[in-house]
Amino acid sequence: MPDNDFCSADEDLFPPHFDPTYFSSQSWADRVACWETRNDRAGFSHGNVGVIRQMLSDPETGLRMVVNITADALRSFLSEGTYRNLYDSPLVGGSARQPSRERVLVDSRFCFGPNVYFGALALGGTGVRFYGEYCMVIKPGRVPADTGLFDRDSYDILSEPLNELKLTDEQLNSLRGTWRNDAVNMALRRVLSEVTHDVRLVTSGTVSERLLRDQEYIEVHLDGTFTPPNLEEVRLSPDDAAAEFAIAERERQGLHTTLVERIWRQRRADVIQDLANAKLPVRVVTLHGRGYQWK
Amino acid sequence: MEVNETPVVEVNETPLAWYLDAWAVRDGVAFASMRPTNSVGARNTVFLSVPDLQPTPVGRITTALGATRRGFQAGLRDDAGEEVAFGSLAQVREMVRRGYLAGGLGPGGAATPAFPLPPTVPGVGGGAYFGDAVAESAAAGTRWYEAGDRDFQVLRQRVPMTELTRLVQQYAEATILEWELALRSRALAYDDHRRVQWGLREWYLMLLSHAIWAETSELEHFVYAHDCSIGHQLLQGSDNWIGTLHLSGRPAHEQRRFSDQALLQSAPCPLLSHWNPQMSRLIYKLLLPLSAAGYFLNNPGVPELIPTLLAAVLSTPASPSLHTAFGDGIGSEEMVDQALSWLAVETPQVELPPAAEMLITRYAWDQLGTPPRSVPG
Repeated sequence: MPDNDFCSADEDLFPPHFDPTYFSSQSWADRVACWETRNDRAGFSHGNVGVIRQMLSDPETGLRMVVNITADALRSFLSEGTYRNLYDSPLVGGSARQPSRERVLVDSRFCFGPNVYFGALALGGTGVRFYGEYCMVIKPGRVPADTGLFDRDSYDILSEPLNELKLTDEQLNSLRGTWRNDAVNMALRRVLSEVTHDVRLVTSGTVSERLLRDQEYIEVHLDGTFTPPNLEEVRLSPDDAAAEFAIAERERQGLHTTLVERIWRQRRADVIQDLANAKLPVRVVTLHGRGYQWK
Repeated sequence: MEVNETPVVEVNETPLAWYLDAWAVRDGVAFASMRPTNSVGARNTVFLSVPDLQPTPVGRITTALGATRRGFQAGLRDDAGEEVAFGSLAQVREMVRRGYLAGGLGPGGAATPAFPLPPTVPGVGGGAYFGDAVAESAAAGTRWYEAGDRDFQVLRQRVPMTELTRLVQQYAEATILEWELALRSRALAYDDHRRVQWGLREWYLMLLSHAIWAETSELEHFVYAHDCSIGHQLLQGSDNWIGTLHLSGRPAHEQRRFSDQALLQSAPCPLLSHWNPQMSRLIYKLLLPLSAAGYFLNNPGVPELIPTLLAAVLSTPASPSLHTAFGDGIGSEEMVDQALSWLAVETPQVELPPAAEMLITRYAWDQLGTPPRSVPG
C-alpha cells in the first residue's frame, strides 16, 4: 500500500474484498486524490481528473439533479403546479395491510421523511429511463447546498453484497454526501472507476454515460417539492423519438398500429403542447457531448 | 382467448409466480418479478413500457422498489391485501396493456380531449337519430357475440356487411349531429367554440377519408337534410373541401389542427335512450371493450357494437383516395371488414387470473363512474 496522505485513512471500514480506495471513511475529495495517486502513471490519469472535474464543475453546463417522470404524471405536475412522489392509494386493486418491510427499513436507515424527493445526478443525457420517458432537469438554484446524495440507489442496500454486511451507520454514511461539498467529487470518483485506459483524454460523452447508466446513478435526496418554474428544461430520449416516428411511418404505410401505440403518440404530442404552454424548453438529447455540441 | 397455462413454478418448495412490483397504471409502465409473494427475493425482474411492452430484464428488484418513490403504485393486491399472482409474463403484459387503455376512460382519464364538448344525453340529438336507424334495422335484435368467437365470425355470419356498414355510417352521422348541436347551443366559450368548430371540420374530412360514405352524394344529402352548418361550409364555395378531398386524398398535415387520434378522443358518443350516460365520448366505446374482457359478453347486441366499430374504422389506416377517385380504392364495406380484423387483434387475447380480471374490469368501470354491468354499455 503506498504511503501518502490521501490513502492512509482507516481502510478496515469495509471487508477486504471491497475496494478500499472507494469504500472508505475518507472524504470524497480524498478518495479522488487517492485514486489519482494510485493511478499516477506517466499517461493521462492526472489530465483526465482535471478534464472531468472541469466538465462536472461548470455552473452553466455541469452537474444537474434530474428527475424522470411518466407522461401522465408530467401532465398532472404541469397542471397542478407541484411535483408529487406518491399516490395516496393504488389506482388498481387494494392496499397492502402494512407498509413494506423494505420500504420501512430503507426509510429508517436514511431518515427519509415524506418530504424527500428523489432524483439522480447527471451531466447531460436523459436520466433514468425506467422511471419515465421525460427527464426533468432541476435548476441548480432549487437544489440547496445541504441536499443529500447517496452513491447509488438507496434500495441497493437491500441487495448483495451490501445487505450481507448489515451496514453500520459509519459504513452507510461513508457512501453519502451533500450537494455542495461532495457532488463533483462523488461524480468524479464514480467516473474514474470506469476510466480503465490511460492513453487519451476522455470526452464529455464518456463522462455523461459513465456517471449515469441505466439504473446505476448517484441518488439525490431533495428536501421539499419543486414546481414547473424550477425546471431548467425537459429532455427526451432519441430512442423514444425514433419509436414515435416509426409508428407514424407504419400508420402512413397502412400497416397495423395498435391502439396503445396510437394513444402513446398522441400523449407525447399532448405533453409537448403542455410543455410549450408552460414555456419550458424541450430537447431531444443523447449524451452530454452530442446533445450540447450538435444542437 | 389464449389461455396461459404456465403453472406457478416451485423451486425449493417456495412457490414462485410473476408479481407486479411497481406499476404506473395510466402510463403503461411496470416492473414485475418472478418471486415468492411479499418478498424481494426475485429470480428475475423485468421492465415493461408502452408502446411495445416488451419485457426487458432489469437485473435487480431494487430498481423496481425505487419506482414506488416516483409515482408508481406499489404492486397489485386484491381487496384482502394479498398480492395478485400471474402465471406468465404474457399475463403481466396484458394487465399493463389493459390498465393503460382503461386509464384513458372517464372525465378524469388520461385520454384527454382536444376540446370540450357538452356531455351527450341519451335518446336525444344524435342518439335519437341513431335510434331511428336501429329501429329500421333487421339486425337490431341480433345477438352476435358468442364466447370464444375471436374473429367476429358469428357476427359476419349473422349480419350482412352491408347492414353493418349502413349502421356505422348512420352512427357517424349521429356524431356529426351531436357536434353541430353543441356548436348551436352557444354554451361554449369563444376559444372553445372555435376549437370545436375546427374539430368538426376535420371530423367530416376524417370520416370521408375513411370511406364512411360510399358516395360523396350521400354526405351531401345528409348535410342538406339536416341543415348542418359546418357541412355546408365544407361543401360550398370554390374551395369545396369535400369534393377536393374526394379527388385528392386526406387533408395535408399542415392544413389540420388535430391528429386523427386527437379527434377520436374528442368526438361525442351519441347514446340510445337506455345506454349508460357516462359514455359521453366515442373513445370510451373503444377503450372499454379493449380493457374489460367481459364487455361484449354483457353487451352482445349489434347496436352496442356499432360505436366501437366506427371507432375501429377510424383507427385503421385510411385508404389513399387518389385511387378511390378512379373507382379503385377501398370501399366502405372493406373498411368495416378491415376494422373488424383490427378489433379481433386488439380485444383482450390473453386470459388473466380471475382476481386480475376482476380488478381491471372494476377499475375501467370506476373510471367512468359506473359499477360494472349495471347499465347497458
